[in-house]
Amino acid sequence: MEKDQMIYGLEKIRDRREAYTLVTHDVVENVDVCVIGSGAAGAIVANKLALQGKSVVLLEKGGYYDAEDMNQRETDMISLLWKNAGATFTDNLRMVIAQGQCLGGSTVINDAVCFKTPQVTRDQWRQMGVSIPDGKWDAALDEVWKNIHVSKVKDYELNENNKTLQRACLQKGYLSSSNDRNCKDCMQCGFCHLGCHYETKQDMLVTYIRKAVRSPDSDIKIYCNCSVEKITYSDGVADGVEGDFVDRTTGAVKFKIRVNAKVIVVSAGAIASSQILLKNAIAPDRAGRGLTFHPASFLLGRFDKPVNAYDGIPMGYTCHQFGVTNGVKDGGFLIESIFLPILQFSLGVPSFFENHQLLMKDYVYYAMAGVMVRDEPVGTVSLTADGSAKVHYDPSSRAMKDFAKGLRVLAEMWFDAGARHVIGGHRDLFVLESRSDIDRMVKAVEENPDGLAIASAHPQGGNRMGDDPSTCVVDSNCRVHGFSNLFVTDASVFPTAVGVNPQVTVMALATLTADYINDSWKSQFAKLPLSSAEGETCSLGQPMYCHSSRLETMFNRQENSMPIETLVNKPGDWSFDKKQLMIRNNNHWKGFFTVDQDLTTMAVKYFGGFWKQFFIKDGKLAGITHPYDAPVFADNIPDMTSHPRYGDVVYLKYTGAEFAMFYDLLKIVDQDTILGKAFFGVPPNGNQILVFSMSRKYNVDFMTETDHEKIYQEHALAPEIDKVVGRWTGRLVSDSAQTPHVQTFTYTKDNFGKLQMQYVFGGLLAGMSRVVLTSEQLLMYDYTNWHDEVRMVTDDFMVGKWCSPPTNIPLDFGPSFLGVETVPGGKRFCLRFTLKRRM
Amino acid sequence: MADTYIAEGRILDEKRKPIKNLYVEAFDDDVGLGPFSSVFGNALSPNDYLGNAFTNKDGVFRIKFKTASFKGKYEVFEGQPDVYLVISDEYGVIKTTAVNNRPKNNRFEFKVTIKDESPFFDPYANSAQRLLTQFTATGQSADPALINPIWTGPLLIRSITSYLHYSDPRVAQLYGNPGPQVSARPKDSPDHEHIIPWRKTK
Ligand SMILES: Cc1cc2nc3c(=O)[nH]c(=O)nc-3n(C[C@H](O)[C@H](O)[C@H](O)COP(=O)(O)OP(=O)(O)OC[C@H]3O[C@@H](n4cnc5c(N)ncnc54)[C@H](O)[C@@H]3O)c2cc1C
Ligand code: SF4
Repeated sequence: MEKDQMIYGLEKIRDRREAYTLVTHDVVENVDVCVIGSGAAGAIVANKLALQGKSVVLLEKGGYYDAEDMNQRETDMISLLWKNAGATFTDNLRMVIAQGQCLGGSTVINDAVCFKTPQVTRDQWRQMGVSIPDGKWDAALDEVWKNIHVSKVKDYELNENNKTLQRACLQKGYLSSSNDRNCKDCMQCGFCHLGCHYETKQDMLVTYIRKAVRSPDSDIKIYCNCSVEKITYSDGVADGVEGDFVDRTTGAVKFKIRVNAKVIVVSAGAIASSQILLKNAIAPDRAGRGLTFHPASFLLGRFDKPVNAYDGIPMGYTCHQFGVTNGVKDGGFLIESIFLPILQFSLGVPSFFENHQLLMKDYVYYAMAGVMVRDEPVGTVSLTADGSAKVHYDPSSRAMKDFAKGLRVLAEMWFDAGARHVIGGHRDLFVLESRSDIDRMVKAVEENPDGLAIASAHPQGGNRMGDDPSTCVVDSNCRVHGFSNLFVTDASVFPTAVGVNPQVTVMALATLTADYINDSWKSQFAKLPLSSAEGETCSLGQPMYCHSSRLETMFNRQENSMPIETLVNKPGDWSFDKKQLMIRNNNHWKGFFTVDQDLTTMAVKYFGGFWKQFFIKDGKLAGITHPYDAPVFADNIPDMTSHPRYGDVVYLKYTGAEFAMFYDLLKIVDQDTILGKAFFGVPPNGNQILVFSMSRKYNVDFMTETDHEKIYQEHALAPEIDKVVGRWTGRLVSDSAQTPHVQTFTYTKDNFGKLQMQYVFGGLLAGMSRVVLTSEQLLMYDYTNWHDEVRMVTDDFMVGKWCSPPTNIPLDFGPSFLGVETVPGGKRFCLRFTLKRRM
Repeated sequence: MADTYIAEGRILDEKRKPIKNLYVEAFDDDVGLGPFSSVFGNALSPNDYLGNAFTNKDGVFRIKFKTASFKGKYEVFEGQPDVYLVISDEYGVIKTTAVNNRPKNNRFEFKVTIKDESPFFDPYANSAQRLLTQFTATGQSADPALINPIWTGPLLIRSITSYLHYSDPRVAQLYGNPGPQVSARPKDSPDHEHIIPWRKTK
């Protein structure tokens, strides 16, 4: 059987190395394994499972670019290959964090330096509950080493920058060595951070991914430009992944994907993996803690002769003397040679204005190296109101001591090697004119640690690995505690900083995870049922998620397959399925517009919306169409007719004079679904004004105000305090359609065990509310005179209202989403909303 | 029968494999402006609807229609129809064909190849703008209460000036860095050699 082409995405680029297909519609996949992220970890897991006969879907947020697309221009490449185009910072903007975002992940933009996981680190992790025996570690490391073609940098490949560090180390008698790198016949162009144009760097794209895609034995589909947002699960079993195909230029969501899978592996890298877990309320009390960064600070030695450090392998040499590779157990640091293309260089040196110009003018005379500290796991990732990741990190005082020591050592080394002066990253003292300034620099670091410029290319941790489920997110097989088939494997599972450049350790862990899944496939995973959910993708069963072009085609192609009597509604026939969060509403057919994000449709969505009701009147079928926001009830008569273009359709003829120029055509496609078109004119001709769908069942994201009230009254109760603690995201309820997420509520307990709630509305308005629990509901008060009332439906779903104080003024005005209620004391406005624990 | 026509043909993909289950609609282009507006069955469109059919497993379709379909009340000059097809797969329209007005024995024959005709994505377009947009987006994950403006303010300004100044690779040369060793659009010159010219010049 011929296989599908295997890489998909939104960007059609000429002459790709691998077969590529444009994504032009929503996608549903049913596979054995879904892997999220295609970096050091994800690529390996996907490869190993696909080559062992599992069907695999790999989802990657970035795009797919080949070596020949990499043009060594910084602005072009950073914006294509780097996460947030390089602008990822900690919340105080102090530290920039570099990560890749493209097919192959950070391995495409890294410096190709390879270190096996040091014994010291392995032993420490073991003490922290990671039970991976050395034999397994070694085998996995060897396997990776071979597959990514690691070899030692040859002496002739060391450029003057690397050699200067080498000489300085040897002079001091420090333990040091040339690096191992995953590169074959390196062209030594120096542009590693911009992707390797010569395809000599053995990143994930040209090794594991290429092999998986080209092997006739593998069954893999890779979707690029696809950002994963959701993992669905219940009772410790994950059953699917949902994501958005996002247009790089506009940021608009073009299409949706749902992947039903028996095993799900999250490998989105540090920060992003924690973000995905947190968004989905997976290990919410543990995920996002314990981040480490290997923060690095650079020192430039200004030499008399040109060093031309840009020319050649950027990272070729390392001083091990003070680091984990020399057996240092407690923190420590490595000194690594490095150099940067000019834009990154100019961004990396912390100087200003004329100072900066002076510095840049000597670009070719600098030798550069960084002190990379093995820091403590004290960083955190949390979610902002809109679900973005917020990284908080203050290096510990021990880490700062290591910086002080490391910078001293490195400065001395540069002076020993003959540097005229040395330039550092502390804002109180950029230039060390002579050796005697070293003490001043060290003092500056000690006295004003915040003044030291630091950067990170090695974020790690956040989803700690270890056998204790109360403190760790994943166990020693990288399986999320409390789940049978959900794994996280990437740099985020490191319990502490590994102490050396991390890619090979990430790859080894991924190798072990893939082996575990393969080995236990039959006993644990093969028999898991595959979900049939469709997420938020468009289909006949859920036309409310369709774009107009797709709905149009559906209408044209689909036959009316039900008798016209199917139309008849049964008022009072309303039910709510708590488990599925689905509403069945046979009071009328709820109408849905298409999801196209153009302005007119959006306006119609939020301020329009309609229902149609059908009944038997005087023995004949009759109907009413009602827009939610206007007191209009348009009478109509449905009749079956044969249309020259659409075949058998229900022809809806409006009887009132004011609507006589309109008609609808409907196709009833199943018991609960109708596709429709509205026309202006005279049938069979007529000017089509709208394509829409109608349904008798929809999920709670589409609920009407009446649905909300029923659920609030009949299916919801006052919550228990412990059950509400955590983060909830909310949508407003509007009759017409689904509204976007507008608020987040975070409930916490204060020191006295009292509940409090922090709210953020629209990403802007933030504040704290007092929480009062009554037997009826949860009440929340802030400084305004409106208050919230909330009830719980399930552990993950609540409904609420934000209400004004009662008044006697007549309240029959205002937009429809502000409902009016009668309560003791008068009438009040209420804004209705829903709250979900998972975004 | 003289007043019965047939539009028929075969639809193949680029590899000349037949495509089944495509929905083919035939229209008559009345005003001679080509297939322009009738895709959505627009009443104001003068184009007449002739019929539809699905392709079978061999990619073959066949649509029969009669004179009455295209001879409207006022179309006294209409001789024979100018037929074109609108073809959709499950997800939407994938092709609108050119007009065929040369029937043989009342048969309009169509040979259609479905190619991916969507435009290429330019990976290098607007890079600088994309970068700066991302820069502004950084604000979302930042916490104003924690930022030290004395330090960060100038750093951000400098970063932006750096982007503006050093983005042009020619500027690098002023500082002694020969800059990129490949052309800005390497795929435009597929035979380019992989050498590092700067080594030669040094
Ligand atoms: C500039 C730089 C230089 C480096 N140099 C070295 C070096 O020389 N040696 C070394 O050992 N290490 C180096 N590293 C670090 C190393 O590359 C990383 O530690 C390693 O790649 C981490 O692997 P990972 O699988 O955890 O994440 P990554 O490799 O970063 O992969 C994660 C992938 O997940 C994708 N993703 C994120 N969120 C989503 C989502 N929501 N949906 C779908 N996909 C998503 C990302 O786009 C990315 O492609 C360097 C890193 C950088 C940035
Ligand atoms: S230095 Fe070597 S590995 Fe790095 S980009 Fe150039 S050729 Fe590739």
